Amino acid sequence: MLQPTWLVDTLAGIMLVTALYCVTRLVAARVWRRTLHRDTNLAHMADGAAMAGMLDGALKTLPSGAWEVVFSFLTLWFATRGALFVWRHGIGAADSDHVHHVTHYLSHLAMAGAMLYMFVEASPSPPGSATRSMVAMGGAGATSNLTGLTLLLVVVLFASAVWHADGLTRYTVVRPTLVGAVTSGAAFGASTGADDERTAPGVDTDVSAHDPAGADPSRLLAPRLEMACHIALCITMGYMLILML
Amino acid sequence: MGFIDASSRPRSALAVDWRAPDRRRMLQLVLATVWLVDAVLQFQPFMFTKAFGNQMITANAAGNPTPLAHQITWAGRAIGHHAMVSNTAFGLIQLVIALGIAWRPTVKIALATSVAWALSVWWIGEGLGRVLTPTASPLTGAPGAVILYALLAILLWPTERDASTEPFVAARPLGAPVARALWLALWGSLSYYALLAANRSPQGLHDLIKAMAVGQPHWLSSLDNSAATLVAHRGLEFSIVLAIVLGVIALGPFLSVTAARATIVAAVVLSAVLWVVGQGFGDVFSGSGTDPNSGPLLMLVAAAFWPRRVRAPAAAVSEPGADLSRPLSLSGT
Repeated sequence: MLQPTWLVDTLAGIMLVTALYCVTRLVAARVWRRTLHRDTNLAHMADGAAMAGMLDGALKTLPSGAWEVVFSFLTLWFATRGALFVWRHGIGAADSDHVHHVTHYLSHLAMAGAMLYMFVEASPSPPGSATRSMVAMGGAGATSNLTGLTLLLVVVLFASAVWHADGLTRYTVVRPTLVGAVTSGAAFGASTGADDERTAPGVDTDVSAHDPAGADPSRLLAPRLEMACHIALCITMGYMLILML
Repeated sequence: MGFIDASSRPRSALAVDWRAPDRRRMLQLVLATVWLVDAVLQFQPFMFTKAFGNQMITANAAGNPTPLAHQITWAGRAIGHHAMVSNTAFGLIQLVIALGIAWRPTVKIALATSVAWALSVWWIGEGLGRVLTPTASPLTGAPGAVILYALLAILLWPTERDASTEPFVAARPLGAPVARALWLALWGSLSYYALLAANRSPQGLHDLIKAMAVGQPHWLSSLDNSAATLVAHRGLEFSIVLAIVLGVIALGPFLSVTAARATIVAAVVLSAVLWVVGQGFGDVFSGSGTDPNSGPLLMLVAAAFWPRRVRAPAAAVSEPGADLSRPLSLSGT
């Protein structure tokens, strides 16, 4: 039973836009000297590009096998970071940025693992076939052999999407500063009354170390849009996994 | 007095009044997750076919009173006739509800919408959960999964009532007596349905579970077949035991805190068993499951009734507006 083409194309388009936006974020952050989660944005970019190719064969960007390598690395990366986090802070504690818990790494680990799982589980393309699209996956027996794991991944991804949607209001907009009154960093503190301890919310330690201004929360590059990307990716990934049930 | 620096732009920063989710908010987020599963299941290929309306919806007419059966049949055919448009609308509505509950500024309007949507689906899509038919069974999801969404929206409605004075989360919007009455009605009705003639017949439970095994993954069908063998020719005995357990659970919130907690645990365990064995995880592995069925929702209802020891009034007065379940510290993703 095939998926409606318009639905598959729409999702592929959203994934492509998401991937391109994440590339733009990485470039913009460097040009404007703003901070962001570099590994998260790279992972989002890979997720979006890979899913766009899975949904629509015409958008396939890397040859077969390459994505498996990419997502194997990302899975290993987030597993390592999660383990290091637990080693340094324990399971229940927050990161030095006071925002991230171990669930941050676990959700990205689940995403990378889900992508790897989809590539491994999906029926291999017949010899000579240039594409492997989700339309084919949905209709040509790409049913998962590990249905329980698939369902678990779906629940984890959707819970992550919902959790991020809840956290969207964590961030607020800081208005332009008044020249001669305060600096931009001080303006943040004055306008929100934030504690001094919240030095780098939402910023990976290694990223802020690269950026002299990383300790300033107002230098975060559109964190809500980053979360919106995460939500879109999780929902689409969950949808593709459900088609494999 | 300065002037606006043209080079500066609005930027994002942490909102100081943002609080980590409290217990009620956590349950709302779980509800949003279930709604999200619901929404995405609605976008499966089968739902875009005429069979969704003409077969799946109209099947709920069987056994219902004639006027209701006519309405279900008419709606099912209309949906089947406009399968693409109607199913897209259904999926999008559920997606909006899920994200609306998850996003704090819209939680009230999303919960209100979910009540209206759930009631209409309960009426047309589930034939009132088949509670008017002689075959309603808690094993298969009576009184209908979708009515539980509406119940949860009410029980988890955000109010400003002080959480520290309420014995459980579900008591906050309506008060403990009304919440307890709703719990009693829900689990009491489940106990009643367990004793319907169709369920207490020797092979009644066996046939229900055996039917659920068809089309499931091997591990689940094996589990279902084993359970079906266990209850074969023992429908009456198992129905009575099930009804008693459900009846005891129905009385849970009226008992002491310790006893109430024991019944809540029993409710969660029983819901999980029903979900796996009787409902096959909502039939989501078949490609035609529209929702996860009642199992996870019953667990969520039970979690909303988890009792806690209420603070003494004097302590509550000393900290006006304090909410012990809402830690002030930031927590995150």
